[in-house]
Amino acid sequence: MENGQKLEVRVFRYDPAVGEKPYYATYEVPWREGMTVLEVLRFIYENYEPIAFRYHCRSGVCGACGVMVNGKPVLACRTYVEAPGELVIEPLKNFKVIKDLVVDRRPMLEQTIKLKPWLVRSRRGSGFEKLEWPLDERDKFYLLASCRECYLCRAACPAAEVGFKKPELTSYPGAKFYVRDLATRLLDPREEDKRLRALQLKEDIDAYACTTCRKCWEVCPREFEIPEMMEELRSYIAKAGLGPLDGHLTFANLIKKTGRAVERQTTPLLELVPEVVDVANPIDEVLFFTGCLIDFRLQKVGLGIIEVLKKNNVRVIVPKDQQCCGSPAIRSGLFDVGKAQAIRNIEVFERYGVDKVVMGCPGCLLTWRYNYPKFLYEAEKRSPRLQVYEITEYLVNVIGLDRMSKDFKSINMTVTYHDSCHLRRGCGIWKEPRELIKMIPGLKFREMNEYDVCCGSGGGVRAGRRPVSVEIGKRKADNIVAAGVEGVIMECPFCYIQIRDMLQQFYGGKVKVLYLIDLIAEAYKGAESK
Amino acid sequence: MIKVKNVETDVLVVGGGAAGIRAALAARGLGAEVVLVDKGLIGRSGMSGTLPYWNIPAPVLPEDEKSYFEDLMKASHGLADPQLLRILVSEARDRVLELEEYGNIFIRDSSGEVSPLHSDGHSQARVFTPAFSWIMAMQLFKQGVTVYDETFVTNLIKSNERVVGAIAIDLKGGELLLIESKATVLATGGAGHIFGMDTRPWQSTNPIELTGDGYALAYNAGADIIDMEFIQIVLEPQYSGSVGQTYTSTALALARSLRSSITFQETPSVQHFLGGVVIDENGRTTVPGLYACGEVAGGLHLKAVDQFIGCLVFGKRAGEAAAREKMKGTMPEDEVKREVDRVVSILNNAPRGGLPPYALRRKLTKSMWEEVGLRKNEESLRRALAVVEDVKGLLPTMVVRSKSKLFNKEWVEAIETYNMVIVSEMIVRASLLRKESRGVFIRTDYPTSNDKYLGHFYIKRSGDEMIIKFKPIKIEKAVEAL
Repeated sequence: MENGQKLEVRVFRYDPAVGEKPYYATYEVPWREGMTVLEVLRFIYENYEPIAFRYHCRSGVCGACGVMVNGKPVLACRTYVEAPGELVIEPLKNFKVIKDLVVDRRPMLEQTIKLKPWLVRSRRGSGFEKLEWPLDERDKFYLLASCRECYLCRAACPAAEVGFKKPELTSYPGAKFYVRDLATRLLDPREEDKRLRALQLKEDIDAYACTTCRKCWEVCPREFEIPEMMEELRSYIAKAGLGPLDGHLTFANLIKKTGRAVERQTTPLLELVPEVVDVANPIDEVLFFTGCLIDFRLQKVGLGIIEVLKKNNVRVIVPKDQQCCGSPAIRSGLFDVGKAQAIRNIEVFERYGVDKVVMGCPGCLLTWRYNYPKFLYEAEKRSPRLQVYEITEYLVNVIGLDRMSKDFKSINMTVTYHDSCHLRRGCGIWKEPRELIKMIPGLKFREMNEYDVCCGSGGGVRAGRRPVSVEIGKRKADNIVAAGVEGVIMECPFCYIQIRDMLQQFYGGKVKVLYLIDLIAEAYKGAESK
Repeated sequence: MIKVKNVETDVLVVGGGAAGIRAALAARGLGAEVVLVDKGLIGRSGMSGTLPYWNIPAPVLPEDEKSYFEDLMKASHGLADPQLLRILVSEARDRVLELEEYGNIFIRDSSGEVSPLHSDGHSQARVFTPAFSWIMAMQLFKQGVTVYDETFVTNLIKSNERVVGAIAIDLKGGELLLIESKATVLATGGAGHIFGMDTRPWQSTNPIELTGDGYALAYNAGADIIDMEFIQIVLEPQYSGSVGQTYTSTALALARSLRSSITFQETPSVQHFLGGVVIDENGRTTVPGLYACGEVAGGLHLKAVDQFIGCLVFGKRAGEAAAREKMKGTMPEDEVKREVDRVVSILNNAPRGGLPPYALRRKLTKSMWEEVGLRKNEESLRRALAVVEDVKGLLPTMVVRSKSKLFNKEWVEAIETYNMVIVSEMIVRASLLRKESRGVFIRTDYPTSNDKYLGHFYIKRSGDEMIIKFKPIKIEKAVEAL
């Protein structure tokens, strides 16, 4: 109590053995610098009443002390309470509660046992076997085997939430099951039946229900690159001839046939704009990678990007023979298709001698930023001579808010912002869109609940596992409507189409769906016509 | 009324760490029905379950057995039983090989050959790494062992001087288990938490569940226990990084996983108990029907990484011997009733002014750490003994605040506190009697070793009294062994 600073801790309480209904109890706990959540729980346990919670090692290894703190899954022993104030501590999400903060892990253990995560082989070695084991596979094996089994990944996962609430829609249990139980088996050079493991991934784990939204990665105490792992595992399924799903194959075949992932309906953006969009005194020069959805379906967004760049004196080059980035193939595990697209696009874009590439699709950006360098290195042992930017990132961080044109008309509307997973967690871009929203006069901004939770369209889930996608999407629509706004802004064509459909399906299009860059272009345009 | 469930099995294993799992697998391998009871989460609790991974020593080649034996004998300062150590070194390699068969893969060199590491106190590179606790725990389910985790054994039940089962609290089910078995294997690990139970800073690397229950269970059943004064205290790096995490770990890998500005200071912390329940070469204790293996067993005097291989070698031996026990006892009703009544009365106890378990434990552990931990002498040990007696006197007034039978950890903590008092008394009394310093046992008032004490203090229960007798090791025998 040294300085009298206090925590007000609300703890979920529930003991079915004494016929209690769940409730929240509030405890006042003296705060001190460096205090962990586990210490807060221990303080309550000793000084108020013996609340039930699990812990063993106190050092982040056993994975027993996972709880939700202010809505986020964390390990109590490794989480500091940063400042005095309010703290809400609840049991891990997507579990049945046994008592207070103790959740029932038995169904998880049963699911693990069903996967038989032990070495399966008929031939036994004698003595210590000589093993040919690529170093990167070895390192990955050791890392993944050190999974703490804390289930924070499950608590954070929107697909696991669907499986928990509606088991008939998916059996997807959360990242731990494939990260630890199946990936280690697939990485073991002695494992005989890798096809069985691939089948388990597809059938028991329902691997195609993962939207690769990276929520698990965000909370994992081991900081595993889980979504990348999922894509790699999907490539095992594909190699075993068990995947991807029909919905994914449509995209992949289309890419192989036409170089694009979307079929032509109306005139594509690439045919609507010139190859070079010149400005009088350019302050910069960029290449514009349109991406299939903006090119074929959301042409207006593409035109908006060009308008905004023009307005800010940036010369834009639109390479006409650009193709699909390959993301739809990569997300469903078809790496070969993705790699061919990567090599081709890099070749096309490097031709211009301009090093900045701007795009308006987070899926394309993630692919360009993280998959392309790997693919190019594998093929040509070099790095791309290109810097890639999402348009909002480019505007805020390269042009700069001070230099940006403020010649806006006012748009009077209450709005909220949905973070695209690939943009926020994939590329670390979440401040920039919010800063741009604040620049537009008239917009009244408020955050919604779960603003950074997946809309359900990513990772090939909308294409391959529609019911799961709709279930996740409905929750997003619920949150948007609950925010009581007139418009929801986003910066991703996948989210845009999904959220538009979900709001239409469940709320009759009650809230307007807005693409951020398009909204900025609108605000500029309005000012010009004034 | 408390719900009671009857469980029948051939072999009951108490403890789900490296030793308990190996024992259960061995018994199961001989066709026995096996029930394994773990106080914490299976595969994720106990000393072995809360390490990021295991480093396990074994002779790389059969001809290296001699040097490993010599290293262990030397490290024990003459206290290890040479017969047990000979078994250990001759079977270690096979136990380590099995770990790979479960699904682990040890580090290989660039040519693909297994590549053991060096470790303190070992004359050769013979430490195989890494092995993972969960991979071993999975074998339980593969082999069909029945696992009750988060289940706490309160006491063993005897009939005609033979252990015939145990009573346990199933935390998740909120009920008591009456487990009848032909043989019972203790694999409960050590008692590091006798020296500190706070969340932070801690005086032990042991997880919270290591409260010495096995020593107390064996003691209550009348088994011989030795060397309880020998406790390994290590300097454990305590890391604190600007990334907002502070924790200790024996694993360098964990330190490496912290990315920025790591600082650490070394803090003394209790790691292993070197003594324990007396066993023969098959893990038999001095009580019929009762076996012990791993840290709870004495005689091997193993430190640090060597504890692991002790767990595996004698876990397997104890499990197999237990599976061969054919005598089917019945738990006597009056014995069962007495223990059930004790356990329930600890829950229902509500005297005025009584203290909850954590308060009694804090009193005990503070004294154990300060007076018996790193530095000890006649006066400090006398003070510690007075505290042990004081806490023992307070036990009947201990209050479990919640009367719920479901996941009532405080109820378990209360029974653990009884165990901790027994174990503390063993440690303090044996430490008072050993007027010398030897190996990890250091007394500031007797800083050198004295051949008069080359031997073991045997602890045994007689009625309600703790009897301690010294038995010397013949010096010639010890020399011969070397």
